[in-house]
Amino acid sequence: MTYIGAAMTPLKSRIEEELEQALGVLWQMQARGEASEAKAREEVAGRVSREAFGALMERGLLKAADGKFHFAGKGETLARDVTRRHLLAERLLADVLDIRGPSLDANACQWEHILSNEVATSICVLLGHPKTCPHGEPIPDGDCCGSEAEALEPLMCPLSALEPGAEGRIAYLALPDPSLLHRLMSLGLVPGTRVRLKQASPAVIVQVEESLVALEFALASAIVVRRI
Amino acid sequence: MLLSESKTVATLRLALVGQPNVGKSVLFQALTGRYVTVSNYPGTTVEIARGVGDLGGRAWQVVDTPGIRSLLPRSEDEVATRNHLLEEPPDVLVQIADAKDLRRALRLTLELARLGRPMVLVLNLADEARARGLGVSVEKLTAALGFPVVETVAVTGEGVAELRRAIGAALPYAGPPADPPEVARALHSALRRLPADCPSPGVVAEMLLAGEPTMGRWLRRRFNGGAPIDCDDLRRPFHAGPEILLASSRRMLADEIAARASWRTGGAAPAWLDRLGMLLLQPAAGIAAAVVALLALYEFVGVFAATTAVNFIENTVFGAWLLPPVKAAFDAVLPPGWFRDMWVGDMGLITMGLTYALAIILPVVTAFFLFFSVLEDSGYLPRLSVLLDRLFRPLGLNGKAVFPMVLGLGCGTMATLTTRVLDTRRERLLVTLLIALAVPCSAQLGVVMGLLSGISAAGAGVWLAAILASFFSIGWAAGRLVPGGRVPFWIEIPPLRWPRADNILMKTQARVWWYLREAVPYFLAGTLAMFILDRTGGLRALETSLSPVVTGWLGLPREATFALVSGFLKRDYGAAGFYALARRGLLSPEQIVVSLVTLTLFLPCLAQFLLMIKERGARTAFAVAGVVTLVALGAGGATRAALAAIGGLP
Repeated sequence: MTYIGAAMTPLKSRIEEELEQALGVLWQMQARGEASEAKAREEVAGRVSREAFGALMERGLLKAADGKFHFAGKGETLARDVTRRHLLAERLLADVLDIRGPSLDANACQWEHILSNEVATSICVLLGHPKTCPHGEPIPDGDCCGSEAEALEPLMCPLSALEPGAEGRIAYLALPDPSLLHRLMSLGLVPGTRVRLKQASPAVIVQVEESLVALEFALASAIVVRRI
Repeated sequence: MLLSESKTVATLRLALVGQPNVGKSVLFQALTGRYVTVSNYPGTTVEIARGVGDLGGRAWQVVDTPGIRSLLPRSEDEVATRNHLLEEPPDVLVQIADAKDLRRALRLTLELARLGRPMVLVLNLADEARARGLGVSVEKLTAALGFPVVETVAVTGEGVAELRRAIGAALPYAGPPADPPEVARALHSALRRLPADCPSPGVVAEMLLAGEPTMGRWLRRRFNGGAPIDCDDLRRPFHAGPEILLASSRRMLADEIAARASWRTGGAAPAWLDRLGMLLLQPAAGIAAAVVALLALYEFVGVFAATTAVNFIENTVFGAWLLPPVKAAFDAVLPPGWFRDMWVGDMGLITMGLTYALAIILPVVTAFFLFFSVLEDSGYLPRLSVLLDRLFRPLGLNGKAVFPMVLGLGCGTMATLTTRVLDTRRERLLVTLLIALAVPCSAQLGVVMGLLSGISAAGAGVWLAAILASFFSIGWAAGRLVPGGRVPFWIEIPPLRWPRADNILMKTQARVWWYLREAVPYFLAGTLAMFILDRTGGLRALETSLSPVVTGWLGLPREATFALVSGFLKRDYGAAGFYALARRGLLSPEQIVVSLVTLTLFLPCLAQFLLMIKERGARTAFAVAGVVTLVALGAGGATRAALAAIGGLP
């Protein structure tokens, strides 16, 4: 049987890493709504290796029928977990360690195999359960997301969750609509800007440098800050 | 207009650009002597204004543009400003900025630098910056940017002479580039896809790379179609968008320049005005302030202007001093007959049209504009919009709708024009409808308050309840029927300022002139139409055909039909007609309330209707008119029935 994804495995073999990577690729394709087996084979071959697709089928983690692929057995859980670890690693590297550009991807690719699911959960809590990776891809929810009780004080949180008087530095804006994003940017709300929450209701009032900006709750909760 | 006169003389063009609410229009006025409306809230300049100024012995064409926060536009007027800069590149670009927020100013400077035009940076509101303990070294800034920087206090004229001199010394930006290497490469690729004669290619390329949707349309229009220029492939490698990367790196560079050239002396505890400004954002204090403002409005406009001033002007100035000699003069020259009556008869242009316009309406409108200007300049309105945002949510609008609506309490026509400050077409349509329906203008309000003060407080309560019910129910229904979603609310909140008497007076004067130019011709045209209808028997026919509705459905006397019909021509004119009827004792208190409800909700005046056609299109304007007429008659009839059911007003 396979050990991939099992938290106790100290080090994974090269083939196991490849399989994890392939599962991640397939998860992304599925998330995009892409189900064609031929395309999946091609993409896995291009991004991971020629053998990986067949190996996943052999191990019963993947099935193909009518020219479409789908996960089987523990395949789906493993694929979700590896994607989560990869994207959370990206978030951590980008937001906390301020690593950008090509080394962000390279490091995240290493980390997805090293991190255990428990550590991924801790990162998720620390970062305030981020919804997307720095590239905008959705991070699959883990068990921790949505649960109220938290042992760890989150390092990152939505602007709307700061206490009045508290300060933060904007880490990223989690807005799906680019025109809204441009509006907030034009108010000086760009990554790196220091903000102070003045008031939380009826609208969120924020001091952005020398000016005062009122935002409705939904907008303020899409701005993720790192507490200062 | 000024443009055509100036084109032959002024060969050099200067554009004033800057963030909203930093004093562009005041400086425009200082440079050209022309007045454009100036207020203490963002979005007052909704059109590009042009004037001619004498700078260093040469005539310059000076262009005032609507405020922009970034060259990446977020609303129609920001698109207008950006396109103007692309289409008519100025010889000198003067950026006006708020000296209190140097870093934000510099971020826009770094964006504008890409236009490649000679620039001057004006740090306006320098007095407010000094009061907060902020210091700036103009020399260090000039050295960092490579072009002149001037500190001004536009409202007092401080620094304007230096600005005139600096314009001659304008130079393009010569500071360090802000583009991160990967963005610079993508921009380079995007540049090569542009037509060879594209103006300001750097900015156009940046917009395309940022995925700004109006840029493609502009390019196709400008270069007569052609294949759309697609930069999606260049955009894709930047997962979060190249514009975020650019904005972040511009922010860092701007912070660095600001850190080198400015300092802060002492933490300066917030002044009491700043503390009051924060307090007004809290519901309890904010609502208390709104109640105080409403009471003050009632006392000043409703009681002082609409009663005391109108009585004096109508009865004494017109009734006793002006009209008798004018009538006598006409009687001396003209024989009795329709031509004499057209001027000084019961429905004469002078005795009725001009008297209504100048003696009843003008004092009320002037008082309102004066009051509104104080409110505007103080910076209170954005605070009100924060408090009222939730009230507008069920209507599918956000707090920004407060601006046109409060202005609508002054003049609905002006308010319809101001809906341009709203972000989407949907919001503009919804607000246009609500202003046409349930926001009474000051001329109407004056008459309404005058009439209501003659009956019980309960009557006023019934009127207010009927208007508010119509406002929210129709607003709620329209918010659901008009497609599109609500735009999330965000607004910049300017500091609370002491209104300046000279600015208030100038602004009130400009608005009153605008009103006289727009309203008086319609008053006179309306009077003439009524006169002709009356003489040809058309009025009688109209009254007869409408009287089932007026007497049957609304339960009003036959004579009220005249006021209602004239309300078609001008809503406040109709109100004034009812006023006259009530004074003659022809209406009971219940009938007064019913007619006021009908009239308040009734069709906007002719001027507002024409502007609706111009701004929203004929189809929309007629649809709005239809809805408004039905709702007005429906609510009037319902009020009558309700009053009858409870056995009249207590």
